[in-house]
Amino acid sequence: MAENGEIKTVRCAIYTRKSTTENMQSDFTSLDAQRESAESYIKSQAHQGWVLLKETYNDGGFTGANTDRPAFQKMLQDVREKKIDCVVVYKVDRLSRSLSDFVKVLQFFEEQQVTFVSVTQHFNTNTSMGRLTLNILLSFAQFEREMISERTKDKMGAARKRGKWVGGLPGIGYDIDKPTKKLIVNPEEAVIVRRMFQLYLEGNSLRKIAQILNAEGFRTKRYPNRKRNQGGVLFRITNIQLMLKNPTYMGKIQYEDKLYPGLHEPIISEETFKKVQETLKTNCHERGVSKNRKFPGLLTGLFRCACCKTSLGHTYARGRNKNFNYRYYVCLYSIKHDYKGCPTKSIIASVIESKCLAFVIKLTKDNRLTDESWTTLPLEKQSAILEELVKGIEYDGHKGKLWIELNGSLKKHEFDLPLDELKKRLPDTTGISFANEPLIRKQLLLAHQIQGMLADGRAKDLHQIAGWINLTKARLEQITSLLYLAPAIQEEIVCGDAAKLARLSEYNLRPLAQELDWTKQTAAWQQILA
Amino acid sequence: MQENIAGQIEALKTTGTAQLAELYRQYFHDKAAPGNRTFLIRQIAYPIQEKALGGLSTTAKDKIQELIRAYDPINRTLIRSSTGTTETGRDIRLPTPGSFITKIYKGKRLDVKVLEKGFEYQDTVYSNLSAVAKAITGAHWNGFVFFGVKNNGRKW
Repeated sequence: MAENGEIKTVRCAIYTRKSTTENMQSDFTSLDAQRESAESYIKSQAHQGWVLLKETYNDGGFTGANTDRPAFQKMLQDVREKKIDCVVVYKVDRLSRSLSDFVKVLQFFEEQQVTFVSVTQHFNTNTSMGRLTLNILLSFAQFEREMISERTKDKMGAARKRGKWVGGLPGIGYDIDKPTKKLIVNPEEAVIVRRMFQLYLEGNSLRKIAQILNAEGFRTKRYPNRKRNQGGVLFRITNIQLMLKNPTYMGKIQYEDKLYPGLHEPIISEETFKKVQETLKTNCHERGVSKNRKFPGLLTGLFRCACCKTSLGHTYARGRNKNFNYRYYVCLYSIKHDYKGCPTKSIIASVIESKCLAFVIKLTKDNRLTDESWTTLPLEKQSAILEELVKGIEYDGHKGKLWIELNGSLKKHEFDLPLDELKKRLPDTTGISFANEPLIRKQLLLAHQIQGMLADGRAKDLHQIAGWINLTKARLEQITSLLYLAPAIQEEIVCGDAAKLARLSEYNLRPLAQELDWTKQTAAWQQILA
Repeated sequence: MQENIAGQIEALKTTGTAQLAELYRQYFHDKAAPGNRTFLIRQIAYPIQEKALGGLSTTAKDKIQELIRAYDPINRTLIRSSTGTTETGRDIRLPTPGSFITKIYKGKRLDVKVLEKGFEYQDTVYSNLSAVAKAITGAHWNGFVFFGVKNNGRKW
């Protein structure tokens, strides 16, 4: 400490902690007592150059089980910034009641060359004996904490088994009787509970019940004493579900899967409650949290409903053939609360995706979107590119407007997009839609495929192919005779406008295929088209 | 030029059959099928005009190949009834030989090659689809059900 006769100053910080908030308002708390004793200790070491820092580190009402304490973290930060040379505490367990945390903190102090002093429990961490003492002390500190928690748990368990309410917020329908700490029925709220169970037995869905209760002017229970003044809002599906499943209403108390008869008055008869549970069980879908990551859409996470201020989620329905998914974006408000409350409800995914892409291309002119390879990219890459460009997309089905907000600019670009445009299914151009192709095109493609199979030896002759696919050889000859059409006609059949070709078939073109001269063929073709 | 071609084609109709067969050999490097003179003329008329006027453009050819790859027309639509056999005794639900039947099973992709007679899966030939399904699952499955091979009854 002393160098060249000079005394080096040691800047000391005092850390105090207390796990309960009791009596925190009084003038002299346990924190002050801890601080006082530490201060006097520092004073006694003044001859070694110890000085007290102005900064105080007090944690009132924080457990020693972890290190999530504001003042504690502040102190660690100051140690890191070399503002502190020595940390003084009243007792070892003030710093931490967890052995592993304590060891880590001590190691950290050592690295930062900070000394650690406990006023009432002296030990010297330089000797093995001192370290052993420290470890023993800490083990006991941790043991003490765990004992307390176990004791409390057991006590609460025992109380519950005897049917006592052991604290926590009472559900709607009950109040807590302050002196006895027992549940008492709140007659006004009990009406809501009875009404809810009755509505469910009448066969209403959870969403319907929430709507009816809200319409009748009921609101969730108020908790005015809480910090944030909770409750008093509209009923949601989750509220209703939790309430219908709450065994407290039939006069029971739950402890670890088992129900014990409670000391409070039931609101609902046991019979009714059980009946409701049975119906709930048959109606529920056993599935996890429906974060549909297995089947995300291109706009998932970007797309929001401007009317309801919720996101539009991606979902799909199985088609009748079960080989095609009909994809939709659905307003989550309309699913959860009120299907008729949202003008947008659900819109066809392929339509909105192509429209949005077109708008984004118009705005950004990004060549990754216009590139031909875009359609071949996997969905994750497509959405990654889109997320890079677009901050958010909002749609208002009422006004028929779409807003796109690009990354890096605050302006929202507005587009007109009437709702009925999004409800109409466009012919699917992305997926395979062989059925929608004009008949003559299908037949010509088949002719070419057969030609290819014959050419590369996959098939011996037409007769063999006819055997495979249950057509006659004669029919295949008719179809393959399309190959003798002039190239210009074939090109028009393959690449031309589908609407023009719609009513044509191989039969109509048979005289053409029998014509040898291409000029005559083309003339006849023009006639047929006209 | 144009009239010349028209004349050439017109002339084909009066050319002797032996000469036509010789022309066919020139254009197709193969022996002409015997018996159908009209068809033979039609077959020869195409390459004559192709040589003079040009055939299908490469873009059209590419487009055709792309569509064939995407649609596989021969395996998609030609089957008339949902079950049964063709004249040659082949189950009509089956795709043409050389095609693959695929299925995702327990996260793995199974590719079964359809042969003229039987099926090939992992270098083993099975006589029927059910045998393949049994080899994969260890339990008896109707092969058509397991692989979802069915005729969806679309018509032309």
